[in-house]
Amino acid sequence: MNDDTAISIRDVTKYYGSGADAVRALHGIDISIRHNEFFTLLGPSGCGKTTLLRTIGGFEDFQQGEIILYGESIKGLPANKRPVNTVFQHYALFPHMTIVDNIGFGLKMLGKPEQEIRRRSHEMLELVKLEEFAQRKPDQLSGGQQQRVALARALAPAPKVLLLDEPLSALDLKLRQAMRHELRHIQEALAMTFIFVTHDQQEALTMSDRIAVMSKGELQQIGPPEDIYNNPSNVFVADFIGETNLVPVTIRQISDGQARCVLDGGETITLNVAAGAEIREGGRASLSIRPEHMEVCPEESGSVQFSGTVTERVFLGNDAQIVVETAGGATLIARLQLEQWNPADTGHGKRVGISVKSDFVKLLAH
Amino acid sequence: MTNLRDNRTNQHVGVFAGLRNTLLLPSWLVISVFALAPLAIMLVYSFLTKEFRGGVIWEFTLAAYDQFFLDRGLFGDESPKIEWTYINIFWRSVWQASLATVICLVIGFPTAYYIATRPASTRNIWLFMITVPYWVNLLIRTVSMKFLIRDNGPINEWLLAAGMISEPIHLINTPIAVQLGLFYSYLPFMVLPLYAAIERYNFSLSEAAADLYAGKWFTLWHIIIPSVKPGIVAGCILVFIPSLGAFLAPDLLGGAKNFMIGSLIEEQFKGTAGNWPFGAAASMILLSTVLLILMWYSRTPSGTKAKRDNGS
Repeated sequence: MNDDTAISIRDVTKYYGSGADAVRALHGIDISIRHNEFFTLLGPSGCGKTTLLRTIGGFEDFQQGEIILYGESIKGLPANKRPVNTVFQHYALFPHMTIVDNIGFGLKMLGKPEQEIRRRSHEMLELVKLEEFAQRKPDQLSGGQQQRVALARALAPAPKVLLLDEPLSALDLKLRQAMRHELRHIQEALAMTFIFVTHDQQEALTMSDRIAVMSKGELQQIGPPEDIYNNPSNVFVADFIGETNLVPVTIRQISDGQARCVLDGGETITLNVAAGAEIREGGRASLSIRPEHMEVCPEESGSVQFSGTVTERVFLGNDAQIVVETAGGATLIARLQLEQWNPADTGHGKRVGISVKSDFVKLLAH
Repeated sequence: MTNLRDNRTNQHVGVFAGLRNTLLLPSWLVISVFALAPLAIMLVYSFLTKEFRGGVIWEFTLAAYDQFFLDRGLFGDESPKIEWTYINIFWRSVWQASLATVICLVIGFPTAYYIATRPASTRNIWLFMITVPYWVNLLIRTVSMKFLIRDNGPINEWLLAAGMISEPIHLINTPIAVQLGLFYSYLPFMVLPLYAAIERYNFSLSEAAADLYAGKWFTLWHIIIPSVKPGIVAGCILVFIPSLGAFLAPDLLGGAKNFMIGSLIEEQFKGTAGNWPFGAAASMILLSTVLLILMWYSRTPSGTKAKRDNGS
């Protein structure tokens, strides 16, 4: 373990229920989160990300494994004895208390002197820019303001790690985008470890130092946003993060770190095999190609990998996309330069070629 | 109550006003014929002169109230002193009803909390079990209770046979028996509103409190109870008011020494020894006390207490 490890989650496995009806919620999760890191747990609903966060917060037990917080195991420690605080998804502000009492609650429970509670609460109010609302009740605040109170309340006791359970999901888009920056800014200013749970890949990509992608209670990939986006480790990650085209192939032959793949339409393509990719000769796999990595060109030009017919055109404002149906039955989405947005070249029913640099074609196991 | 009305009415007035009044007419009729009119009759009767075999003579007098509060001697010719008999009965009733309310709350709250935290599929079974005894008439239930707790009733006999006691526990005709009767009669009136309030309670507030280092008891007193306060108030009112006027439990289980105001009123209208104006006056005094208590409660701004607790 490194000295700068804040939380180390070791082989955590959790079941709901018991016996034959047991549902596996977490399976052998291993994550090390660094001090001062903005770490995101990302995945679709039901993937176990919130359950994992709740095991760290002390709201859920787990059957196997260990959670180490700054060198000390917190397994079995009740929630009110753990030096971590949570920003709840629906804020869970105490409705009968004023904003300033909500924020001071944790410090009061820790038995801090009155004066310190008052000073720290006002510091937190200032941090989230809600000084003038100190004496209001939660229901007199807007959703965005309540969200900031929830953040201030969780930050006030200066937890060793802050847990955030989809805190932005109830806000509208504009506010959500503004809060992304504010959250990141606060995290950097306070130099605190944040563990952030979201199902929104955009949120994860823009805010995090590192992301852990989860699916069905299992960890799929951990890494910095660029890494997750550019080098997804499997089809699930490629599909979940950003937009991608998945083209099913059969592996014909593997040699010297290169795989010869046959598309369902009969075309053959030779690609590098990433280290650790679980593919074997004769097996099925998928090519993953991001729409922005596809270059649309005339069908006759030299470096074309795919050719097909335009079946759909989507104008998106700052760019545009076309959907191309290949002879082999694959459906590809390609991003266009705006100057290519003309019916003569890329109109409905036109034949086009698509070329992709082979670096941008990822061969992924299912 | 008034808040609810202010927020919701007046928006649909207009086209539907006529229809609404038509639909409300039956309710108005029922309320005025069966609630307001009897009250008015009682109020008038309490100021009339008594007829010796029950009934009234239409002559205005304050005699009934005088009899309740003042002692003018056996022949009514002494200088008035305060009459404690009825005030004591009244006070005992308030005390018994308050105690019954507290006991129902202390036992009803964990019960309601337990039911509200069961999986949604089993909650209705629990609620059903709470209400099943109420399919049986109150009189029969109270008599059964009397048989159960008699000196030679099954409870005492079992305890004797098991060697846990050497002589029967004497319960019948004691205040404890009255409490048992009241508690058993009115517990569901506490459990049901409490359940409704706790079921709506946002349990993530308890998690938030634990997350912010609060212990279980602190969370109960300072987070859960303030949040479900309307249910507590409703339950207490629903237990306190019928307990205050109860006469079956005190009559059958408490005996003569544990006479309550409900029995006093009942006797005035029963048989030949009755005194209708006096019974009406006692009812009016009971009713105004309940009203005063309710008004006092609704005048206390809710949340004041909670604020004081947190601000300290």
